[in-house]
Amino acid sequence: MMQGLDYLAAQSFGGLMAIYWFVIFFEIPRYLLLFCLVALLPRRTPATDLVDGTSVSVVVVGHSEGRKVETCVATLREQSHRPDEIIVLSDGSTDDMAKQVLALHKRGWIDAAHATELRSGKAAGLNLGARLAKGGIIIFVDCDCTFDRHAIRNIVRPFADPQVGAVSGSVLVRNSFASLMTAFQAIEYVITISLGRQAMDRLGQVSCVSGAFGAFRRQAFTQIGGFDAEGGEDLDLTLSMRTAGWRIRFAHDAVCLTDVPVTVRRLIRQRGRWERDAVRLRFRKHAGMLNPLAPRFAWRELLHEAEFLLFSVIPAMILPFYVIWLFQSYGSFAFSILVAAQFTLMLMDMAIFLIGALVTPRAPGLRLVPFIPGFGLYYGVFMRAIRLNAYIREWVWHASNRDEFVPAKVLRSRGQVR
Amino acid sequence: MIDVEKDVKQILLVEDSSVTKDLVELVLTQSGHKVTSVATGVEALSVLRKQHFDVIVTDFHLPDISGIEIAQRYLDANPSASRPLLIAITADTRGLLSDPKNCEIFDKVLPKPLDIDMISQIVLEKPRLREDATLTDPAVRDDFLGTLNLSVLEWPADRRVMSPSIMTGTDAIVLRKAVDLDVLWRLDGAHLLPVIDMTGGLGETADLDCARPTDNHLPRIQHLVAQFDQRREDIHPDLRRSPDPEDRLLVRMALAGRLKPRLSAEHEGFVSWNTLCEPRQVAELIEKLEAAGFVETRFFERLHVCPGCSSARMVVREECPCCGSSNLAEESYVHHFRCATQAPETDFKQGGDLICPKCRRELHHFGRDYDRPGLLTRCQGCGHTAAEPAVAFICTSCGRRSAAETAPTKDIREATISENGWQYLRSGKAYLGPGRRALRFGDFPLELVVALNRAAARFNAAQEPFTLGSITYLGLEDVSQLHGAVRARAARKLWLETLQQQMGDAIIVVAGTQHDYLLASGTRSDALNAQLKNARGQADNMVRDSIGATFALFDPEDLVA
Repeated sequence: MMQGLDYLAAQSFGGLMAIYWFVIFFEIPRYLLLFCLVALLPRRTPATDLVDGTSVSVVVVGHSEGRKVETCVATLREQSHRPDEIIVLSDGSTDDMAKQVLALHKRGWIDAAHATELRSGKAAGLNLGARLAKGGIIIFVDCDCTFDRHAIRNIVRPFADPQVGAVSGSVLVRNSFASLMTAFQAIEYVITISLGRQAMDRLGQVSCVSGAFGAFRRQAFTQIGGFDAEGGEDLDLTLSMRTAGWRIRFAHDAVCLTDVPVTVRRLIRQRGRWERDAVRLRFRKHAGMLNPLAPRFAWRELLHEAEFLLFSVIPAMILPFYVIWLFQSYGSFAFSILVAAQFTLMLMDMAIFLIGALVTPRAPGLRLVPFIPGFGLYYGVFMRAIRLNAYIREWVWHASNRDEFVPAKVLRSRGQVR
Repeated sequence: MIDVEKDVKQILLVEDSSVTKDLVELVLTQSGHKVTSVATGVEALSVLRKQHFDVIVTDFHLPDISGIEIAQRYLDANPSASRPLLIAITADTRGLLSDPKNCEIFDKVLPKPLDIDMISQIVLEKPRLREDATLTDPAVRDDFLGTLNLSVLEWPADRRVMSPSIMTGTDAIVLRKAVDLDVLWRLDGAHLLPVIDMTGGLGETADLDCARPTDNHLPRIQHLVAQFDQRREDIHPDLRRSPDPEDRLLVRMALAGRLKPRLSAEHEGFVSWNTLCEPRQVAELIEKLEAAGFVETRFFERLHVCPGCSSARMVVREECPCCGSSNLAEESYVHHFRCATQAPETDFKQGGDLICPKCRRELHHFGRDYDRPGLLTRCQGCGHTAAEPAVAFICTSCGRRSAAETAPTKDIREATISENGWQYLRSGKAYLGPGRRALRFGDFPLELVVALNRAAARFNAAQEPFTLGSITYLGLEDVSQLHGAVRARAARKLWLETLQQQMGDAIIVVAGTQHDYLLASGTRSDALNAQLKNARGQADNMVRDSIGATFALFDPEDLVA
């Protein structure tokens, strides 16, 4: 070990480059970019509230979430900017959610309650909600989310700009300390969702509006035709909106809390689904955005596509080869080399997390710091393994077509199940 | 004390029994009335020739001429004079009232043994006017009831000639027409009588339906009347006579059985009971009786009532949660799988086809292209859609609309008399404790009446004071339940004997039924109280069980207050 460190200390800059090319190309720029963008570019949030009287509808769709729906609605009623309308749909729930929803309506807490007996899938539920909603701005939220008192006020602010078609809210983790995995996810949400989207927002490159908490201009929503019948509907709709020329914004101060998967198994399933959907949507359905010859191609879309490619796809593909190459070239030194790299990355994680926590309202901050040393392994190795697995399964076997998140009848009708 | 000028009556008392005569005289004199008492009918007529009286209280059976003859002769001799209040005293009320002529002449009939408390109240009532004294048209009474030889109150025919206490000696109420039942119920004593329904429209509100009488109705009527008679005997006179609405209802339950509600559209409350008492009032009274512990209730039905007028006559309807219209239609959601459009069917309908409003594709095949994941309600008025319609009530009495959740509910409970209730019915007001205890002459043993009479005469003549005491045993019931009635009786007897021994000649102790009594001549209550305290301690020590004896002492002035 010590020999390995001595060996590293003895290396020249060029020598270090030769050893750490992966870290230098794929890891450090990620941190630098985030840091530079957030630190150097001004925030673009309009200072004024939305005052043009556009009415706001909130649509909550859930499948078997009877236990959570009341709390979710309760926090919506606590808002400083009370939504003009709250619509709750129970999508073929098998628990008592339908009953709960009707009870909320009877109590006068919500303005419309709908319940279907068969499950139609999230996209269909959201579309029905949007159809029933009367507001000029429609906010879609997940049942397991709860909201800060000013969340609605802050998420509708960017709509003061008539070119803004959608605004993403800032989703943070409620159950940060439920397990080691939730602590890592809490750190990840601060860095990638909050800080990452703040950075992309400064460049006008927000490419995904969170399905858990996202606001849409009705005009833009109907122009796109609403959600399509497939998984990853939030990313799908956002990419369609970008193509149609609408601006997408991120409201860092519109804070919503959600419960993230507690067990490793559930986390792997959730992320596998997200990554498969991302690959399918970006490289199949919306591949035209990348193709200079396609009519949908636009230079300004390249940046977020490149970000995804450079920081998500390629590192996940290359990392195994890099590790193998390290062990082949340096033998037993490879281990020390990796430890040293992890240590460096840990310092950077720490710095970037602190910046993230600083610019993220309501982030758990210092209480998460003890978990930072493990975060490098979680994000750099564990997540990449999940990604790699998801990419391969999607490319080779079109795994997302068998996603249980979308009802089988829908997949069948789209000819995606053989 | 009655000291208002106009309430002082000139009273003629005709009574051959000296005990009764002295007692009544004492009570009436103490109430401030001027009483002239005579022992025979001849004497009475001679007094009547000289003087006018406001009230004539006469025994029905006198040694020479009957009470009715006195009254008849007096009325014939003075056709123009203002009619006095005529009160008959008799041991045979039924015999007296069976002759309608008697009913015509006497305003009141008092049964023997005499209820002294009642006398002081009754003499204050107004006499009937002469022209009112018409007989019920005998044609109205049919042969059917005539064969039973019962004294009945015919409603509403008898309402004009009925004076409240004529109920005494009446066997039953016969309803010919269901009018003003609340007035009938309020008549003094109406709650003590069985109700025979000749209209056929009252159902269980009456005790017997005789709209289409057959031969086997006769024994049933007889049985009913006998049952009421018998049960009445078990009820303490305090309660039989009580004008208190709760007591009246409780007594009615004791006579007719538990209070049974039934759903009926006749009343606003949607509930009728097996009593003439106004249905709304019944529910309130049951609540009060239950609070007092006299009845036990059992759930019968829960009704929604109008928050405005409390009527239960409400129409239930499904309505639009948005505009309140009941013009609703049900339709299904349609889910187009291919483009994730989910909307009410109307949005898809184009003639006979289903066309997706988003992608304009036609939906061909149920289960393959689309399905119907659920039902929704659409308002034909405002177009609002909802998973379920709201439920509301419209009050048909006042027209007020109220949402199902906001309409208050009212529980209807049937009631049976509790153990406490029976004890109260048997013990009278004494059951409620010394605070509400009143001294009742009617309960006095004869021995006490005689002694009291003597003491009263001395008080009237020489202002020599006396103290009358009643002894209540609050713990006796417990002892009886714990160790049996025999031991309780023995304890009470021993206690009373010890008291007598301790007090010596100073007092006379008389055992009664509910209470025991003591009479001390020449002493006022405050002086006696000190002596009694010591004697009671001794008596308490002598008796093993704690029977909780308490005294209530009365001076001569208290007795008529």
